Amino acid sequence: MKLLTHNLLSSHVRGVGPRGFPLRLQATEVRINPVEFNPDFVARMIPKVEWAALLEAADTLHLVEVPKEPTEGYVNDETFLRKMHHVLLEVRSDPRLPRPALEAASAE
Amino acid sequence: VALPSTSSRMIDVQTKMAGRALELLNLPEGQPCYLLDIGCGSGLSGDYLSDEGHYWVGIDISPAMLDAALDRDTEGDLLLGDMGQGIPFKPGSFDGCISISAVQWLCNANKKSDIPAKRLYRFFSSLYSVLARGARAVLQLYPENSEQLELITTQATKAGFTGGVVVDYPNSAKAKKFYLCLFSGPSTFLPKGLSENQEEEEATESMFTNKRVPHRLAQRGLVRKSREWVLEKKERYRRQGKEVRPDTQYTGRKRKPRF
Repeated sequence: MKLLTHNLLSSHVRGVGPRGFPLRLQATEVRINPVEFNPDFVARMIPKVEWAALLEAADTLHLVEVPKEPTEGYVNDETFLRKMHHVLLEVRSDPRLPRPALEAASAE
Repeated sequence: VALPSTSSRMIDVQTKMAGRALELLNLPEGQPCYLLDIGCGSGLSGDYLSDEGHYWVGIDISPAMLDAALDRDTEGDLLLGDMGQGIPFKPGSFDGCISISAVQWLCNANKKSDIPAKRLYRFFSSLYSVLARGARAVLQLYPENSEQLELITTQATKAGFTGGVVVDYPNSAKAKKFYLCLFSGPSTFLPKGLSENQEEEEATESMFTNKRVPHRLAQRGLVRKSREWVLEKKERYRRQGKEVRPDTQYTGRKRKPRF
């Protein structure tokens, strides 16, 4: 899945979360899927990103060139937006399906 | 296994409904959005969203259908899960939501302990949370009857949504389609349903809002134990999602005195 989606899921990579599921990314299963760059879309998603979780995920997947935080006036910073576009939308981890909701349900 | 994606007629119907749902979603022109596809199945509706330039996340309860979606290499991200357990995303994640032919399944309890009203409420309240403020959800569904549709809309209202049901082609048994249009912001104008005869004046939509008739007001003027009182009480129980016997000519009839 895209890192954007991974980041927006309500539990994160720190082992088993409160909802009861692990969502660990596998460094071995990473694809780059080229996607058309849309700066407005990326800029709109930036406020939703949880940076600690994103950096941890990027680290697990051995990604380079990942911004540590939004730059000042990032809405107009094409360099920053292009990097974030690549990280959030073009990097796809593990094609196998995570099963967060079902595992959470059985854990409850 | 003959999955819907293998029949060309089914592909056409699913794609058409996805198109109509996206139209009803009324997203800003030319702006890619991050959307949720509930009951995404093998990704037919999701493909339509991708073709329109959107990003999407699909949830489905069937591993077989999701495997088919993986085989078709969809652009969207796929999650295996039961919508009745909630949508596992952070608040305000999505710009909109569609669902094609899935939500009525919430009315079937999987385990004996699952009350449909509770599953519906958990689904709708969680959906309300994961939508950005002012975002919409358009859910195409096949309600079994009007009671089931009312049960669904009641739980959606309880969860904070406003909106209504848009009915396309109400006079065609084959073409008739229901779209539950839910708004998470203030009430807006509900689109008109499609019909064969565009001159028809017949209203095919029903709006509902957060405004409930207060209990006292509904009871005012009703004599206790009268037929009207019985009917109002039964209606109230239906709104709560309880199982109620249908109203007949015998409802609230005078019974033989017991003493």
